[in-house]
Amino acid sequence: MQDEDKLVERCRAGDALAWEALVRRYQGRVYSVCVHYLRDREEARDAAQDVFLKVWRALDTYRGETFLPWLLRMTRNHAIDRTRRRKARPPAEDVLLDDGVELEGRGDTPEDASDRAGKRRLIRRALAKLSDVNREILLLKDIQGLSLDEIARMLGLPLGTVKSRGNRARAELARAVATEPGASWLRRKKP
Amino acid sequence: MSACEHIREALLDRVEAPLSAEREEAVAAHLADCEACRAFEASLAGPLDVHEIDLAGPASRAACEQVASEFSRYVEGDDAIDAELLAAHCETCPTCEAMVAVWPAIADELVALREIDPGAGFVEAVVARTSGATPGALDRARAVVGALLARPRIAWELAYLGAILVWLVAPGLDLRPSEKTLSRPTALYRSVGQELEPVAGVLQGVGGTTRTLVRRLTGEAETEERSHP
Repeated sequence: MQDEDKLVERCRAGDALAWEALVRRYQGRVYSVCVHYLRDREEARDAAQDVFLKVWRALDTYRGETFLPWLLRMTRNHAIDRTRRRKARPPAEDVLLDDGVELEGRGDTPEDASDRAGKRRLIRRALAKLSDVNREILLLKDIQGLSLDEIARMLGLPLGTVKSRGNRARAELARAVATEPGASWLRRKKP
Repeated sequence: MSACEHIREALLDRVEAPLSAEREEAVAAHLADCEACRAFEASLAGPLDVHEIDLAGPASRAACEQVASEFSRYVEGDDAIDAELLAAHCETCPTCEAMVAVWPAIADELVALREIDPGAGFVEAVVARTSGATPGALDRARAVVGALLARPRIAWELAYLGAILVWLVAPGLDLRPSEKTLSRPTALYRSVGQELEPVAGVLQGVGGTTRTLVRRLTGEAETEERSHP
């Protein structure tokens, strides 16, 4: 956390190397959130770039909170703005959550990678059945790993509401996955 | 998408509807050589099918709801809940048992979606857009104006502000409509008003008299109260 603050401080002072490191560190997170909301890889890439531009302009106003929730809140707001603007236009491609390349797990063998892709597809199908509200909670809590407090502040909801919605979203996702054909495969792969 | 992924997608599709002859042939050829995909196929034909299994009667449905409401705490191993009772329920309820059993795999996959690679050249593109100067006052001002212009009611707000400005800047300006622009109903309203002016005078007179009368009566009542305590 302290490391982040130092990095941000250096960015604020105009350190180009620090800025590049910051973008490199958070590009995957910002892009992931954009893909989630926009469901279009190209548009998500543009949006993620815009987010970093906004971050760069707003660095002076960043004070007194953890960087990641601040960044993700900015990303979420920007993605939602874009979604509203293009409401009349459907996405060019409908990807709920990218089954492409993620930054983690690059060392997988082809077989592992194939297994992961299969699992991900099952989960993606189940995620598609959830409501937007539940999907958003899962995105912030289980995918991005934000704390309940941070989510409550971000969404402007009481902590209890976030907690109960988070629980409901998890239960619904688990139920949806359990009813997908091939769910037993997930059980057998469990260590 | 790799060959295995294509085949697994086909196997999942086959659960919902028969495949075309060509696709079926490709699947069979692949399965002959791929053990992992054969295992995947076997899992599709496994005993778990919660579509068909619905043993939860009205009495156990309430228990299922409780499992759902305490699902997060249960899978996180929270000591505050009665895990033993929940586990006992899961032993007899295939739906709840399946939900709990698949969660670890789901949680792993969700974490794996935390970061998605935006592709080559992303960092360079961002750096190119922001290079040249440190964020300064102009950038901040631009950000503020951009945010203001993105407001949904900006047109109304600007019109309102404009009207207030005109009113403040030109107080001597006579903005009343001229007689020419007055519509017929307005002129009629004015003439009726002129006709009613004498009536209003009479009414005001009556009002004044009534007030005097009331004042006198209440004054007398107060005097009587004082003389007869």
